[in-house]
Amino acid sequence: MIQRLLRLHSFVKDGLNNGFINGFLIVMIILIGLPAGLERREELAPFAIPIFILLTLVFAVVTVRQFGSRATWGRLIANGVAMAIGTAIVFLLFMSLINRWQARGFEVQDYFAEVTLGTTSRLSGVPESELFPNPEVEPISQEYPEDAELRTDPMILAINNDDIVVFDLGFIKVGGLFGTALVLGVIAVVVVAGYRGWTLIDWQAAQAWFNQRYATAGSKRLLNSQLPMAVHWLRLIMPALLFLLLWSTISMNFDTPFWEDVLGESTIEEMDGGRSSILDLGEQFNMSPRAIQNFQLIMVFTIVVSFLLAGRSLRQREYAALPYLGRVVLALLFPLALLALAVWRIESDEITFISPTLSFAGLDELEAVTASLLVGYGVVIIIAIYVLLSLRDSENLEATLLFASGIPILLTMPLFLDQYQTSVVNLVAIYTILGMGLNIVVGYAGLLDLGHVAFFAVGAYVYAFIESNRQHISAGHANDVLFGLITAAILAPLVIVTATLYWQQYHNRQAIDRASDGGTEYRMARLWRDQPPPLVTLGLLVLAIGVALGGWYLFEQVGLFSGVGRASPFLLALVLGLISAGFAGFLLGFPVLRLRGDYLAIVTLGFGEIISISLENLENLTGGPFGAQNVPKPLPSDATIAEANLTILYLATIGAMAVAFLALRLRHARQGRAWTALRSDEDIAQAMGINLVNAKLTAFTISAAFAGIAGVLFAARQSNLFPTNFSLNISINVLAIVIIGGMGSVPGVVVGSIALVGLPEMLRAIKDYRIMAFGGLLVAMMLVRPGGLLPTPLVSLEERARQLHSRLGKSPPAQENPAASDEDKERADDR
Amino acid sequence: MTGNASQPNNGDVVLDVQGITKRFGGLVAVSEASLTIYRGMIASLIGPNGAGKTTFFNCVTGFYTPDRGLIHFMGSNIAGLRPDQINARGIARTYQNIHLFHNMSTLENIMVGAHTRLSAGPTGASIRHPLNREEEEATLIKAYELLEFIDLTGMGDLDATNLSYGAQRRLEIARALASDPLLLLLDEPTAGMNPHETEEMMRFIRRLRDERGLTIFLIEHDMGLVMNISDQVSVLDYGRKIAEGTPEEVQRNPLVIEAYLGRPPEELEEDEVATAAEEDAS
Repeated sequence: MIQRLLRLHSFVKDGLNNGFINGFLIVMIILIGLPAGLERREELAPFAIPIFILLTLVFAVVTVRQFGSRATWGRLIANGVAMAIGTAIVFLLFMSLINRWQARGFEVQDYFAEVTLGTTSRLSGVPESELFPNPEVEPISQEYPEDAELRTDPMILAINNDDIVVFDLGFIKVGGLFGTALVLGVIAVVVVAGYRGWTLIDWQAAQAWFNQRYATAGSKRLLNSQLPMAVHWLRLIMPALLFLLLWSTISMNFDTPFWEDVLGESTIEEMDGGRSSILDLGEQFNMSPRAIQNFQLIMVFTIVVSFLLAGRSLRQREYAALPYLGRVVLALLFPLALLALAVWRIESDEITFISPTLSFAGLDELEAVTASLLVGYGVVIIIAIYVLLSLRDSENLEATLLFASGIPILLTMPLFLDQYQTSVVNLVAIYTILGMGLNIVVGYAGLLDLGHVAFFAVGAYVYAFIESNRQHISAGHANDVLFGLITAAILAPLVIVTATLYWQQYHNRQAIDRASDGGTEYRMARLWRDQPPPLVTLGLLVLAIGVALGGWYLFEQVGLFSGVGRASPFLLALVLGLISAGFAGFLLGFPVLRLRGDYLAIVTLGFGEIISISLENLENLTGGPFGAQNVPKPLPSDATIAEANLTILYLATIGAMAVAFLALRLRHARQGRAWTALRSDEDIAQAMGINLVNAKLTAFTISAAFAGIAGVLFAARQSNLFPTNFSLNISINVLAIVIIGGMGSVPGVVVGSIALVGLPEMLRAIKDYRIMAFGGLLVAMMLVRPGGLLPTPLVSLEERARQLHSRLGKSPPAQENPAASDEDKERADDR
Repeated sequence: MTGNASQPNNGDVVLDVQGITKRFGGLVAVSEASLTIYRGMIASLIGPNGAGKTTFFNCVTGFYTPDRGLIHFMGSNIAGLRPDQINARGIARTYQNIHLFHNMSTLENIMVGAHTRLSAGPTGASIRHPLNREEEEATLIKAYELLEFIDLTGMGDLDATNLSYGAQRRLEIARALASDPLLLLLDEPTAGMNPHETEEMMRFIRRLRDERGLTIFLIEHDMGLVMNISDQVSVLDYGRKIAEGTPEEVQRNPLVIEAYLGRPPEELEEDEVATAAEEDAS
């Protein structure tokens, strides 16, 4: 008996703990919403209860995970009730605190009147009318009259109240504090019944139960394979479905079918006709325009996250039943539909960002339109080629489908956003790039860097410097010559190196077979060791010089793209920003080579401060505390702000994708393994042959270069740059993104920036409370998901290794038949 | 009792340590120790606790720079080089306490070991150049073969730190092997193992020498193992080498017996020495 009681006690204790955390989180949410609520309380009010319930559900799941197989109904109920009580206690304590704040004159009552009055009343069982008997504050002193009777403390009321039976969920009424506990306990238990672990339904238990009772061959198949398969596929096409939902809420010009416009049949007057959306949130759900905006933003973020999650659940499975043609049609359906939607949107709503974007490249309007169409079709064609090639193997179906739908979604989505949404997504993308950079140093290599903002600032100010000096930099003809020479200088070595590498690849095909001999004579081709014969090199040299001369000729003599320099040196700024930030990272790398842990953090912190102080004091270069003002956008001066924002959003989206791609590739290469080993144990990594100097400097340089890209994009987004934009806060924010997303996890960075930049950005007025929310979120993360929101899974390589190995093993004369193994290898790489 | 697989052949020197000294403040951890190891040998380093064996290893692998003395590996001096440079020259080691890389799968752990034998840089990796891709594949195949060699197939995707103790030991050796070493240093490979596992490890070490042509240099407290497989045994005591030779020679050496037991050796029989030493070690 005592044993049982003790055990029960432990469950209750867990429940109380969870309840406290839950209540704490709710308080955090309220704090986040607090200042925002003063202005936009009517938008927040409807969210309070759903968030509350959601959190309860989350904690119910946590509870189940804690119990695992020890879960019994009694224990779960006890735990759930305890949790509910804990939540209520924390919440009510907080409300008491608020009460006292209010007594000191904080103007929180308006907010609470809308957001939390109902919640408080329901939790405490105190009628709403009794919660707010407060008098008006005095207009001048903004304080309550001294003899005023302040509003009743809900905690005391809840305890003293005898007839608290007012818990009202709309469809059910139960009693206050204890009623609440009961209701939440029931919710927890209901959720618990559904959840075992993280899957929505416990398939195995359900299967066993089903097999026992109703098992027939057909039903078994349905339950054992078809249903899980359907869920899996639902997950895969979730981004597309969500996108359609988003699309249906966007107000568009439906009166004029886009094809008429494309064909030139409609007139401007017709096109100005009614704009509407298929799903009118304002009318049907009574949402304010701001709420609709935020809803759509959340949809955008959800689509991105669902894309990432779908990417994680990919499986290699044979879909041999579906013929090649069917697979191709399936995979191409979505990109083509999206292209149609995008064209529709552009044409019917006259989105004109593409033309100015391209006209800054020196094209006139007609050329720009043509070029933009070419770019659009080019994307589709590239995707189509990818689809056609990779679907030859039916194992690739899932991955191909996801990417063929996901990439177009990411590229189409910006078109459907309004200016406010664009700027929020913009910021998220920029922070994603920043986070990707920091993720390399902190997440991969485990070097704590608190000075990341320095490189961000370098990139931003390089952009500001170059764009502000546009007229000097692009001085007509001289500029063309410069561009020509730069092209030549870049192209020539590129051609030589690439051609040499391809020659070596052809020549050293046996390297792979030799390497697998298992002997100690393991030797790989190296770039500068296995040179092609002199004649080949000479030929390459001639070719390279020819290419370089050709490039120079095109620029200088023909004047191709001569507008590039004159209109905007954006690309120059991007490259220079990247290089100078990378160089700054390289420089920072040196002094910190021998430092670890805390010391490293302090030095990098100092470096960040040095840069931000330099920004303030190098007045000639940076404009000092007044900053760099009126920095031009990377567009012609006649472009509107909306167009500029959209352009930058595209640049930032593509930049984030590119950076994520690079980060992923680096992780799965020799360099990434070296970094991960470094993070694990520096000394052992060195003993395994990893050059620490090299690894650390590379990490810092690449990370800083990424931050430089982010800086350039950030500067292009702002019109004024001030040193205060580059304070320590940014470094901390980015670090929080990396940690909350999951150290070393690339999708985690995206999720982290959405959670820490995108969502708070929707509540702009809360700035002061953001740090507090960070704190709360970090604490909650440590408790609930110590590895981050999307922690890095281990790299799975064995299956592929086995395939590669068996391929070698089965055909010892692989050297004699390089063509066959070649094809196999390519197929393996496509995956 | 000598390792009967193969005698040290043709006399080419792999490792030649000449009078190294390492001090930590006033403590002399290794003092004027010299040692020569020939190709294909299994050499052991024994000594009571605190005799400076691991310090000796650390000097050879570059963790410490010896205060005095030379370490010739394959004919060139490596004293003072960084650990990664020494690894690149062909010396790999394992540790007394297992140090695997966490956050990495078993297979990846092995692949890290091949670091110095690969050339891909960040640029090549980010464009996934064909040459790098081939290198990656070759590394993967090689790592898989090592995985087979240590009988861990099917566990390649597991977190390396979740493997069983013996498997972790073998994995550490496989990681060292991935760097294609000429000389493998094993620091107490059977620490914490039961007799059965020790037996297995002994066979495994022999296989390393016989199948992969490695020269092996190990620190060990298990005298049974040492006397069984070593071609040459060196004894350190208070940082000083007090004896060297075949297991039989060392066993009879009065200095060794004194170092381990601290009393006149006449009263003891041969086997008892070994047993006593074993107890001393544990």
